[in-house]
Amino acid sequence: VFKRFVEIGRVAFISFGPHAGKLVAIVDVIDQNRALVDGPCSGVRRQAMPFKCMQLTDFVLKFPHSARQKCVRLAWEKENINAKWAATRWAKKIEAREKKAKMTDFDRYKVMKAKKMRNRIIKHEMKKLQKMASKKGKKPEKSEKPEKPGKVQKSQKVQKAQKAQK
Amino acid sequence: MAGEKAASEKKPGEKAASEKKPGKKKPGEKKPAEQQAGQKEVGDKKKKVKKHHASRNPVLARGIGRYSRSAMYARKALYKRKYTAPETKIEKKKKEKPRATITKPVGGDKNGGSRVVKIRKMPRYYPTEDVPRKLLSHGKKPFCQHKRRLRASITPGTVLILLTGRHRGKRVVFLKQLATGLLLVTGPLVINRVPLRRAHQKFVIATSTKVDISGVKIPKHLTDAYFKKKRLRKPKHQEGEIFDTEKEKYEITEQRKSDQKAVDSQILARIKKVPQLRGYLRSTFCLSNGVYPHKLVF
Repeated sequence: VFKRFVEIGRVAFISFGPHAGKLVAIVDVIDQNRALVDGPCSGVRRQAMPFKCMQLTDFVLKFPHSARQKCVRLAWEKENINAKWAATRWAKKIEAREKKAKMTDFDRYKVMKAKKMRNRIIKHEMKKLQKMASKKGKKPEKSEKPEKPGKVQKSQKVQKAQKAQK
Repeated sequence: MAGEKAASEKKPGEKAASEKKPGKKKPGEKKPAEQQAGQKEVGDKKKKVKKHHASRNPVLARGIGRYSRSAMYARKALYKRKYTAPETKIEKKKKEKPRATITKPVGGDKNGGSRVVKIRKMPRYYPTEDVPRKLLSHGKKPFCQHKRRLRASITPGTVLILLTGRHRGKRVVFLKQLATGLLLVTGPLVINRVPLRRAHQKFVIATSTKVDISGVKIPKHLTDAYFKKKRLRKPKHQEGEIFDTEKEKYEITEQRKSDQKAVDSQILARIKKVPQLRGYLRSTFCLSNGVYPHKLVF
């Protein structure tokens, strides 16, 4: 039922507070509510932090409890947590949300145009294949194909839109 | 008269002297070379009125001078100085008196036929205060002297979203701020049918999109007076025709068309350089579900 546990070396994401949005490693547990926490590679000084503002990630580092910052840093860099974090869907979603909030009026227009174009292309392909399917009678194979070419084009359009946003 | 003769006598004398000796007092009309050599007299050279001699009548005791009137007359050489100029002014004034009365014909019999009427009559009422005393006020300036402010987000070339007026929701290019503080704005016309127009700063959203308008020359005759609405007011007391004489329909003058072309041609070139900007200016701004203006970044 629970897959992520509070343990020494667990990397956590801080959801609110002064260090919101940063990653830290749990170095030690102080009591039921607080942990000693350190984020040498994310700009968080070694400090006590309540569990409530931490959200556990999938990453665990290997260092003994109450290890000094140098050790935590070594372990962090060895595991390359920063790169791994950036590759997770969680981090990507956060980034996308931030980008969306920063969109200017012009960007919104460009995104709207890109989405419109993409949807048109998808619809066009769908219609084509539906037509083929209806012409040749009922054949279940045809219904699977339309998704793949649509998806390939989708990713291209999404990339374009993201570039426009940037 | 005698004085004038004396003055004219002085001039040739002076000129002769100055020709020989540069360095003496010279009239200002002289050649600059000679002037530079000598010292100049301050003031007019024709009448040596400016330089006042000290009193030629030494004081024996307070109120008592050494010389009598006649002696002083001689000492001051008043026989030479007789000024006649003021008289001519009086003569002139006597001629220029305007007409004070006028005779007007009067109707009815046994009335004498005409009356002599004053042209400028005395006032029939004198107010207790000639100029009514105004209450003290501080810093109340008329509109023309108000300070005009412009939001920092609005710079020449910014794309603005108009919020009021017949062009509400349209995205428009900002050109400059006019003297009354209103913003001069253009569609451009071919893109969204917004002509050169004034917009109010308060009723406009400034986006962060900017068009580079650095070299664009906006004609100088585009001022507030150019854009002001014209209203014909000729009350000829013709009921039924009153509404016809006033401009019911606004007609676009040729000057407006030419100005529009002149400005837009420069701007359109720059708009084309930015991809998708033309389509952006063609579109209108609107809110929909889940879109909150206070959360939007413009």
